[in-house]
Amino acid sequence: MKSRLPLQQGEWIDRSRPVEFRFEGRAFHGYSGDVLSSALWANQVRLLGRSFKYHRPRGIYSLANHDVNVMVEDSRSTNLRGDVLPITEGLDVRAVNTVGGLKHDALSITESFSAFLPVGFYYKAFHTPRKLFPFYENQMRKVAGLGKIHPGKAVTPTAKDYAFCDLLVVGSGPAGLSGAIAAAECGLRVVVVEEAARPGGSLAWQWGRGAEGREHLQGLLERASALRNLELRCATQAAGCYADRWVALVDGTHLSKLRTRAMLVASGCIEQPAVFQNNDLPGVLLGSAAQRLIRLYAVKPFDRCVVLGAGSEAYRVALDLDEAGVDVGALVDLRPRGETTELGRSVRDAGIEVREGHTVLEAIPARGGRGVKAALLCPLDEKGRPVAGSRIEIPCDGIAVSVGWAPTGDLLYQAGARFTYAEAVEQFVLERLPDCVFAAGRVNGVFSLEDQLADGRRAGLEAAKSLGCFDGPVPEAIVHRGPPPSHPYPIFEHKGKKNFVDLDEDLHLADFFNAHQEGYDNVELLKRYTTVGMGPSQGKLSNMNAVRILARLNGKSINETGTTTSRPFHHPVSLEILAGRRFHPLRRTPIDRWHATAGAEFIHVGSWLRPEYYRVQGRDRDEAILQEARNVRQRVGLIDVGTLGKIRVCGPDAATFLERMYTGRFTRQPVGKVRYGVACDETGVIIEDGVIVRLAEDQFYLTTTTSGAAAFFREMQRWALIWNLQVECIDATGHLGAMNVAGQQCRELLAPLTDIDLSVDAFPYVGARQGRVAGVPATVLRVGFVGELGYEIHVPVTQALHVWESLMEAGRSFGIRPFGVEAQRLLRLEKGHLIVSQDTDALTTPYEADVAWAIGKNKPFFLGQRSLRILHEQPALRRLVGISFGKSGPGELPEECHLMFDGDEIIGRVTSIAKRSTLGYPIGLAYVRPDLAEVGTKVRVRVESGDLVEATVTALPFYDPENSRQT
Amino acid sequence: MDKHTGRSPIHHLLEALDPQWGLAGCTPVALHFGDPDAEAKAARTLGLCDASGPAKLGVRGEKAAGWLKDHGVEAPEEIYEVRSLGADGILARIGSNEFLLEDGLKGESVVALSEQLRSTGEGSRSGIYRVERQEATLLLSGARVLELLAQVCGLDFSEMVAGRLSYTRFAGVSVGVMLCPVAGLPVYRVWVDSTYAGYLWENLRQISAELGGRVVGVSCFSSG
Repeated sequence: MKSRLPLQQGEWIDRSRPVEFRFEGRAFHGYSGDVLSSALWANQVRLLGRSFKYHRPRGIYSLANHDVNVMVEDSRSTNLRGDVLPITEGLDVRAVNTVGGLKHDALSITESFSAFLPVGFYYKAFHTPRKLFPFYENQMRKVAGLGKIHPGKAVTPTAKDYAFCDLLVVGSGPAGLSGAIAAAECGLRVVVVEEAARPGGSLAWQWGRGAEGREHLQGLLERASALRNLELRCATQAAGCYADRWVALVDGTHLSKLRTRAMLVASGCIEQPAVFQNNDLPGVLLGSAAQRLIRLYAVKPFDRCVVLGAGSEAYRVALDLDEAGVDVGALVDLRPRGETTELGRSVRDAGIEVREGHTVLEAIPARGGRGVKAALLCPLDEKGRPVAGSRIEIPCDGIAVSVGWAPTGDLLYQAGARFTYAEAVEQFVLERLPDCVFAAGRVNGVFSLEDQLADGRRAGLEAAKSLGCFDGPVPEAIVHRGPPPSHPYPIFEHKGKKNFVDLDEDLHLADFFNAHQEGYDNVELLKRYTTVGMGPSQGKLSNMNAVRILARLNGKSINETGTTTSRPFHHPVSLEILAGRRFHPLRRTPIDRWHATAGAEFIHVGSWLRPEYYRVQGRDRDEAILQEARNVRQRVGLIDVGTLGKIRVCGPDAATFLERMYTGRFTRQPVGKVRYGVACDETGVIIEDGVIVRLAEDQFYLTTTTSGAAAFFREMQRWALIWNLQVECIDATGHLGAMNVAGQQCRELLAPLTDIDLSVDAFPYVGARQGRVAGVPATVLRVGFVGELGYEIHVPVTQALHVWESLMEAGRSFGIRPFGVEAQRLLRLEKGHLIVSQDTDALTTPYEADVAWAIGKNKPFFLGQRSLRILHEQPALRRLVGISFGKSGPGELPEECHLMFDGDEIIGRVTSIAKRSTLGYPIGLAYVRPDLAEVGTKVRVRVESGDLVEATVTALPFYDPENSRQT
Repeated sequence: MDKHTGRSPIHHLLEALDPQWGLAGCTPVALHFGDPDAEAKAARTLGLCDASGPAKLGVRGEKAAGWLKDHGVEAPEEIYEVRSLGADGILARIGSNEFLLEDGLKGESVVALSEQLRSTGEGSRSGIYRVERQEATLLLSGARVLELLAQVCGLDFSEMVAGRLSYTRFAGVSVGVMLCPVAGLPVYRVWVDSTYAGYLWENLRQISAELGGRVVGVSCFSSG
């Protein structure tokens, strides 16, 4: 660690805890508290990464979370940024986006072809011949990009939580902390988030000389820690701001969705680069990065350097470097008159040469281009342009750039704030803030330390006042005094083509000139064409200069030019954290465990898990299903139908209500009887079907389809309110279990278990009775969905398993077997019963689905009635019919949704298909053109292979047309 | 129903933890899972408990409040207000004319009222209707319970008032929640549709484990 400095007051490293880590296969040492970049810099490693496009060598640039050219990966994660990645014992990382390693990256050859790879080259070069585009695209995808995702890696669920506060303070610098304390002292519940590992913001590095910054920081932290209603979260970024002041907070492990009543943004500024030749070389870094290296990590940034500046901050940087033992060869001030404050005198007193009205025109690369050998200076004319011919070369191994700032205003933009460019500070400042959003400190255009502290307190009190927790006077807003802290145009053309404006995307100045020449003279268009600001740092170091360049090219002001839209996230967030823990609600019937033990294969039906079929040793799925169906036909079967929607409708107007909801009639439905019901929407389209049981004069119990239950219940509630009827709708779906025992012997099976008289006369087909089954209160319906004698038993959900097990036990001697959804689908298909949403679609009317018989005659009103009357007068477009394929079968059979053809014309569509049935031949349901609906008509279906197979329109039901089996 | 015909929807998940079983009506309940003292201590950090056993009853209708009063039960006046019922049960007003009643582990008030409702007869004439209530009841307790809740729900539970029912969603599932402290211990009572209970339980259990919590039995919360 040759560049490690002696102890710095307030340093973040813990020298008592050395850490060994590996980078690019080599072992290094650092200290706990170091980030990867600082530890490598301390070891005099300058080559830390490669650039995105040209694979140029890159090193530390901002050390402030924006160094996206220093990205590494370990065995688990990728695109880890070196300037925020803490080193830990055993850390073993490699740079991303290299072939052959960082030092000998084979893709660095790309730079040799840079003249042929201008912005948008792929649009121009690869669009012809068209057939080669997939090849080009494939090659481009291989070369482009940063870290690679490893799809095979195990997914670690990360927590995602909600949090709440009165005031969220973003930033824990002087303004943020003083604002948070002022608000917390007024009683607000305050959360302060700081993206750095430790609190203090610029107090920790910018104001490091002398004791002033440290004392302020210590004092503020002591006051903050004494406030129990103030929570400080470090290493946490406010990643995005959403409607109603929901703010995404992201730390290293998880995402918090924080709802705040008010927000105070004291996020500071981002130091901006200057544009000159080779301004991206390792060794060219921002002044604030140099200060961070010194103050936070006790690392000497250079041995000898040049400071390029345009304001007071550059002088502070020069003094900090001098104090750290760096030989400051010159302070190059872009301003013609330099610094007139005490800082200017201090720099000169330190023996540092100040060159006013000069710029760095070029960083001269060291051998191999992996560092800086010298800075080439040149004087500027009265318009700030380099003077031709005059050059001064100063040998150095680094250049610290401190030419200005841009506000970290992302969250404010996202919250709805409006910024305007102010020449007094040469940066964007706030023009308008939304309600309950406040700003303080440098993001608010306030720069001196005293002003930042005062501005933070003002904003904190203002926030407290807005929430009704402070009624005293709020101090006046502070206005910046003195010369602007930023330079209006720190961009200097050079005949070379490595004047980088955007380090993320390797965009240089010429790219902007070319784009403008091609007509991209609008900031949004320029962004999309050049991709400026679209890299991982989201333009934090490039957007401001890009706007300046465009404004100058257009001859307009910055305000006339405008800015691009700020979108979340502030810093990159890993997909793992965004995904969080997966919540996919899943419903299970009370018999679920039994099914699993019995070998059920489950399928998802809506949010439910249902047994599709039960595995049988030595038989495949289709055979197992057919066997289950045959058992129902020949013996007795039991199916769990607890997933059906189960709704009670009670009240004096219950029958009237159901007559309006369904197409059928219910006012004269006898108590203890079941009726089939079809419900339509206002356009006459079928939305639901099921059975309706009259339990008493004013009480009905109805079932709906599994997947449609929730939506239909909501519709019922909505119409009950609109119609203002005296009716109570009660959703009992999750409170009742249900099962259907079916087969010719089920009466004998059930009789010993129930107190209900099951005799044909006492309990006929489509009857309903209430009593007990296996000692449990039950409602029993005689329905025949599967076409056999059957009883549907509805019981409290907590006792459903007991009833099921009792039935299975009692049915053992009858050969009872459970059957799953697929067997039920087959059995009902044989019986010609449709399934809503399988055999109907978003346009199906009762006339088309052949259930017009369920439309009540002479009803005063029901939903869809008017539409159905109109539709009835019009010729039908299709009809649902049965189709069969003959006992031998045609070979390949169609799947559901396969189309029917007459020549080139589509004449129908298969909705249900059973390739094997208990009848011995394949059957199905299909919509066909009405003129083809006559029994015996031959129709042709196109199957998966493209062949056409013949089917015959067949009368429904296929099975037991006399209904002798279910009565 | 003299047999153990009832089953909590989480019964099989508890069975794997080998609990000491007790009985609430016809439903087995897990009293504890080993050392009761250690479990009581765990409940103070973060406990997850299935309390689905005791009976529940829903009544609805314009005369429901009057019917309850006629049977010696003073109904809460405000919607979402909760009062105690019998020894350790609760009565919540969940609508202008709708009530949820739940017995405690030792209570039998709900069972008795249920029988009385049967004899009263429900319908338009009586102005009261029985509502089948078979939700699962879960208890979440301890110092870290807010951290658990923050991972499944967007409600600020630190502001929840004891004795008030809230309806919200946990991990995407509709639930009713109420803060009902037991001897100074923060305890949240959660009602969830039985068919979602297994899913919710598994998620809560997983998060609890990550936060240092564990499954505890109902003994941790019973007064007697």
